[in-house]
Amino acid sequence: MAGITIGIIVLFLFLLACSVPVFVAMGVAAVAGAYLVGEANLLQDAALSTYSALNSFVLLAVPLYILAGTLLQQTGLSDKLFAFAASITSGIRGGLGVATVIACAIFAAISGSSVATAATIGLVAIPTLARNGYKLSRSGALIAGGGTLGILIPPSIGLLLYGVLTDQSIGALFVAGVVPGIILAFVMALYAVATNPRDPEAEPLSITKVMHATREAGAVLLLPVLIFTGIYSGVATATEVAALAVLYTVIVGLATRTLGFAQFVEAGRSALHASVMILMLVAFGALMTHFLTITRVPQLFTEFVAVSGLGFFGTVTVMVLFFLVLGMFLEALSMMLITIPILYPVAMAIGLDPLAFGIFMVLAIEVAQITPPVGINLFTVSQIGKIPFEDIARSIVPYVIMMIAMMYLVAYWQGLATWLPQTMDYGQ
Amino acid sequence: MDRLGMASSAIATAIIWLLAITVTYDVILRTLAIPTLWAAEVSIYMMIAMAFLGAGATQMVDGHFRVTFLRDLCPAPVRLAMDYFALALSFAFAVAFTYGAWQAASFSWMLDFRTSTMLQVPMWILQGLMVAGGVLLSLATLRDLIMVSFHGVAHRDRAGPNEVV
Repeated sequence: MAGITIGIIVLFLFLLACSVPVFVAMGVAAVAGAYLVGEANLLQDAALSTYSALNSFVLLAVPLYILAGTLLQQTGLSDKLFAFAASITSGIRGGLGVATVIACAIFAAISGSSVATAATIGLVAIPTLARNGYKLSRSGALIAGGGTLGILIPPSIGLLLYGVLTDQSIGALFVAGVVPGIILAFVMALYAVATNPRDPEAEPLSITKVMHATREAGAVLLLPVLIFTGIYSGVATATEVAALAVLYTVIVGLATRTLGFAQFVEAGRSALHASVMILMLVAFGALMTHFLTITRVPQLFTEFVAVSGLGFFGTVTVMVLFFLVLGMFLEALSMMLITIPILYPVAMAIGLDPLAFGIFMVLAIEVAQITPPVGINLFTVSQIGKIPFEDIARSIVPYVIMMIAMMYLVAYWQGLATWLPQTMDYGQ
Repeated sequence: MDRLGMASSAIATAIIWLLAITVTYDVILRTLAIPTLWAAEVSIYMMIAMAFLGAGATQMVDGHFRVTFLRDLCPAPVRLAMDYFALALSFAFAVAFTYGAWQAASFSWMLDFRTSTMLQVPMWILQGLMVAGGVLLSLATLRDLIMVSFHGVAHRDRAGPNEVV
């Protein structure tokens, strides 16, 4: 059995290396594995498993949050968001850098997507940062790093899928991401203050300007508040809040006359492609999980950790290194879908809380998105800002270190993730 | 094939909007204390329809994630060989999946299996969506294979993987 398992994992990695779509590689490896262990009705069972994997009310939130994000991108209101963030940070050293982090955090709290956050804020922020003397590579790294807040600050597609796969409350996971997300945003802002000069175009803080910018961006600023309040208060489920976020964005777009028929079509099409890509990974990832389960890989891995004498620090470090290496070559969601069935039991065995491990995992995904050679945020920002990839890859190192440090913080002080959810009904 | 891809993309895009409208309608009515009994169930079916019917359209824009790091490091002839291999395997897999879905749908039709929910929808209809999705994905992959044979490695060089999280 061990030989078959290793053979199938090697086959899977080979298919990935050959640039086969990840969902196809998962499906082919899982069906081949099922054949080798002697399962019958392979193709019919594979089709039924993919259907079952998608037959979930919670998963409905995926296309809805993505649609809300693509709609917001189409409205083009991100410039008002950035102007608001810049108005409250004007006058302080590295103020525009801090404003970029704040804008990323707010946009993240609407879209749930790292790449959308980096791309949308990057378009607005890079020219302004460049005009104020910020080094291009450093600006790019700031936006790529800030963009990753998209999958930590709720709503988060990553946390949503983690919840589906591990049967955790999506609302509790979303709320668990708030404190680590704010801490990480704060650390990034501090780094921006420490490493950047005073902005030459900066004006002293003006209450009138802040009020004006808040009024202009008010409609967008209200959305994250509504999302968080809806989930935290338990008034609506994560899926229902996602539907309301779409409705709210449509109303804002129509009221501000930024959404027309063409924008609706484009938002729908972008959301479709992104949603299908994720849902196919979930559907065929279920086949892979089934194969790993029948070959007892998670149990063997847990037993290995138990007898290895690694201890808590050693196991956490091995997981961090594992994610770091895997994240260099695998796309974030695929990495998550592959590793959760194996590492979740290990994390539970060493005493990690399921919510804290969810945040730990999402932080690992954040690292994957900004580590070369396949860090998607780096590519996105590099293309938007016309910044040489090598330069941005060097400037991103401090952000990678911040996120790895945050992973250890969440592992050792799990209360960072579990405290806020415990104050709501989910904790009882 | 392009027209079929565009038509399936339009249908799946319409479904994503219908999905948003149905869930929102459900939330609003529940808030007004007149809960609907069908909306949640129908929403899930719509999501399944969107996922499978949109698989081909997503393939046409190279939207399914694939690792391109190693491929991009290779010289053009090796990249071309990798593209042929990846697309041929994807095509074979899509055909096999369609056959599996067809088997499941036929079985459900024969035994008149229905969902164990209030609406009691015949399972063959829902599984039929997988068959239709499998056919669309097979055709989209075949189209890419043909495009690669005409345009060579440039066809896949131009395309880029899509990611949203």
